[in-house]
Amino acid sequence: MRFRSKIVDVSCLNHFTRVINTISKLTKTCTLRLTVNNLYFILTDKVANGGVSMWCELSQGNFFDEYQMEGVCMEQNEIFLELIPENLSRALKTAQNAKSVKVKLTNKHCPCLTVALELPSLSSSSRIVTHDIPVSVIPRRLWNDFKEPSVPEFDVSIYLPALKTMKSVVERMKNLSNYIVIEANRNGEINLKIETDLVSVSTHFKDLGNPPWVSDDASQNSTQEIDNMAEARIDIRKLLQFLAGQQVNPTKAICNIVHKRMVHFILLHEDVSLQYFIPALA
Amino acid sequence: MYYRREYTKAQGSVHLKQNLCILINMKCIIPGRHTKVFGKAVHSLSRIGNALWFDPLEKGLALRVVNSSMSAYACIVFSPHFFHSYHRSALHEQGAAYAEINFKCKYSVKSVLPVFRSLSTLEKNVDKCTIYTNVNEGYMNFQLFYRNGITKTHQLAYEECEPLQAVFAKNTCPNVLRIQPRVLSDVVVHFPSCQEEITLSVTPLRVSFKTYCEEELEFSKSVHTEMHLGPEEFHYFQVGEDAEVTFCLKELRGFLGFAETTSSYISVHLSKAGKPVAFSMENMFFEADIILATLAESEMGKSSQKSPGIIAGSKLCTPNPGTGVSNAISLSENIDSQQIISTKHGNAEDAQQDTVEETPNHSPYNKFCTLFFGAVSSQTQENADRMFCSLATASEDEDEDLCHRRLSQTF
Amino acid sequence: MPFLTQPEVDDEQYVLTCSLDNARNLSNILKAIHFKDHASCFATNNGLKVTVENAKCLQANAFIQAGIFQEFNIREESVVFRINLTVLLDCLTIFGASAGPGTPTALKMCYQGYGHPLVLFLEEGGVVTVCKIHTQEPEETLDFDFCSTNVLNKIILQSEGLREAFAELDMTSDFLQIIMSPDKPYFRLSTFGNAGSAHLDYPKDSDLIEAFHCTQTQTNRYKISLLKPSTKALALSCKVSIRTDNRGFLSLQYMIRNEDGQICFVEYYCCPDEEVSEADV
Repeated sequence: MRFRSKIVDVSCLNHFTRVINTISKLTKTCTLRLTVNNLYFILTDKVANGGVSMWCELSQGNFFDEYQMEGVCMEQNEIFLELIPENLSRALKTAQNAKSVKVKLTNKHCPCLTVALELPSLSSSSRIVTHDIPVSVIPRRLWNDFKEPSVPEFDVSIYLPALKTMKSVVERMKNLSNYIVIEANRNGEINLKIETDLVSVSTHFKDLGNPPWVSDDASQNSTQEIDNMAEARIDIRKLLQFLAGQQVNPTKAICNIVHKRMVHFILLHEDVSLQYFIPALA
Repeated sequence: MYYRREYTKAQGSVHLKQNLCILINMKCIIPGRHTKVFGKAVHSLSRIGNALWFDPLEKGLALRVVNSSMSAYACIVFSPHFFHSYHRSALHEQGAAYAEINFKCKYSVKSVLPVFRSLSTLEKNVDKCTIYTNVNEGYMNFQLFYRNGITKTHQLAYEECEPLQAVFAKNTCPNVLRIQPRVLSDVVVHFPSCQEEITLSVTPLRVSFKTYCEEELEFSKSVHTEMHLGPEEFHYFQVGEDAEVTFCLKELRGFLGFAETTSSYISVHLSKAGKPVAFSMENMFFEADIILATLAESEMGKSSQKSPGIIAGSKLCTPNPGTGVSNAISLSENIDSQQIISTKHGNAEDAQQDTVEETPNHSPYNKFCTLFFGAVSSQTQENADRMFCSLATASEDEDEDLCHRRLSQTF
Repeated sequence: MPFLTQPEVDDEQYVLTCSLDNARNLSNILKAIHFKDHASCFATNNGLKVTVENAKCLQANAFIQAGIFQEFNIREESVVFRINLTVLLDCLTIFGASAGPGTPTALKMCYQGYGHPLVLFLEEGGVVTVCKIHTQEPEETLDFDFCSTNVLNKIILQSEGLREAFAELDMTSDFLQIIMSPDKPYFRLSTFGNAGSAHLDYPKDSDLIEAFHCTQTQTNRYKISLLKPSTKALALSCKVSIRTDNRGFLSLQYMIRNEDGQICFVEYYCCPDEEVSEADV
């Protein structure tokens, strides 16, 4: 198992740092999967148990200037590591004016992801800062737990409104209630609703558009059902955590709702995709 | 100006009979442009300990602090040049010679910090700050004069007591480094804010800062950070003996917060594990020092035996009540004493190694200054240069620190 | 711009309807008196008055006159109800608290009368939020019986002169002592806390003081926990008037300029902790 990589370009570094910051805000620990072409940050808290799950995919060529990965073996040319993303985020925090950043797998007192920053100095030679971030290697027999989730059989798929507006609204609603109902229809409308003894608040977004998924199901085009809402009642803190963690505006943001079961978010940037699953409550 | 009063022992260490004239007060005026610097000093020292001593000396007003685990001592002395006027206490007897009484007092950091809370206000709106007292009043006045005519007066209760002072023989340190405070701040910024201890190691090739981790178990849980600086980054670089010392990072950060606001260099004096390390700086307005205890070699990594005079591992940075373990820095009250200063508990022998031998009529404080200004001979500098050229490092393993390779290439 | 397309908005059924192009012209004023959850709302054709009280010793009032609203219709002489102010503020700021770029949030408030919720319609950038807030039985508010004829001392000063003082009040002191006098120290704020005492002196000719009318030396003490919340009103205002009457009751009046340059007032009344007059000192 070997992994060595290097980022030199400043905008790539900033972009990578923002992605890591987002991941660290979404979860305390997660799995990092390294393949020849991609990096994945994975969290499978098993939606069935009421937890959220996350799948974030980065195409390595868009971030790293050098990237060498040799997996566990020839047939399974991948590496799975468990780590605390906050450690990685902190290591990158002071790398803004770094000449280069190297990330490699090392074995100091235990397996580590070593981040080495090359920083400018007063003299001709650079200053080197290394952070050894402890990780644990996930054995092959557990790799099945981290399969890419399939897009669920949703009832409605819709483009999200401006995440900033959604975040402001959900932040206020969190002061008023622990649960939020998110509902959407095929007519480009999303409603966010909370209701308690003291107050009920509902926010209506319209003209959002519905993404055209390729499907053989002809009944999807029935105009009678176009206004029907699919809804899910979810824990408001989980929704806010997802919205508050976003540091970059995505190129595309989609929400899929499985009526009374689950909400599935897909955020697409040029070189990163993030999927987030929140289970519905009774 | 003249009082005729009966003083009791409780109010001060003065016995007064009838017909004696007494003038006991302290007054200093800080000009507007220096108020922020003074405030910054209070802020920085308050990050190190809970009590702040004000000690008016002839050479200036000393602010001193010791941390709760007695492993860090910091002192900032503001010279009379810093003040618009500086006047400390005096006692004169009718018909007899003048004798001086130093008025020393201690405040809780919680009470002094609010006076200088908003540094930006101090910078923009304050014309001057006056600190004055009459001993018989029982409180110290801190008065801020604002530009728009407003006056704020804080009357703070204090405790009269002798301050603790650290005794540390800087001139016996084989290793002396001088560097810009900005560079040191650039180093510590890479370490997590909750990091308690840091290890500084010096060799003729380079200076390294590393996370210190006490227990083996923690290696697999926490992030280990290392940073190296080459000798070229230092204004002055003398490494007589390889050394590796571990000390509290939090207190050093507090000191660096003050150091950064000035443009003076920081001098670092260290010898070996177990002996204190000192960071100092000075200019015409102040002298600032922080002396930090370091872990003994036997303590680094394992903590089986605790030798007297040394603080064990985790106790370095946390308070250590009632275990009878000695203070790692020699601290003493009554610095004018001509006796050899010993630590409060523990082995007197060990303590002697750390103390400065005093010469009569020569305040050890002056010796402190002498050590600080100690020049290093050009011969020592030559030796250091020779050492750089002869060293070469081989690095086979490609995962080896880049730094080694880089430095050898430079040379 | 008014946006009303909601079919439910049938103005006939409401005893009170009012609308604002910028909801912050209401929410900012209300923040200046938000130190308790509950407030009384009192509406007449002059406008809206919102009152918050504490410990039967302190009362804060916010006045938003009818002219501030783009629309203000009231069908009865007066309309009174109690409401949770924290919830009301969360609703008014649903699209975010700070002034962002672009168009502000438009607001329409409607009240059907006793037993009905207060209904808010808020709109920003085409997104509409509807809030229905439960209202409660109105309660009697205190009457401090403070009238200008009994005022002994009055000072008007620029708020910036007091802002830092109030923000940095020593909260370990039980009370804030205010001395107002035609002679030195003229105007002094003092606290007596664990560390010692602190005194802030304002000379009467300071350029921060716009008006100085003191007829008698008065020393009064007010519970610091009651006055501390007025810091919010101070932060929002440009001027403040400080008056004490012959009983030592304190009146603080804050002049607040909203985002459209219109003036609104907030006032705080506070009973003295103990009366200490010049004779007793």
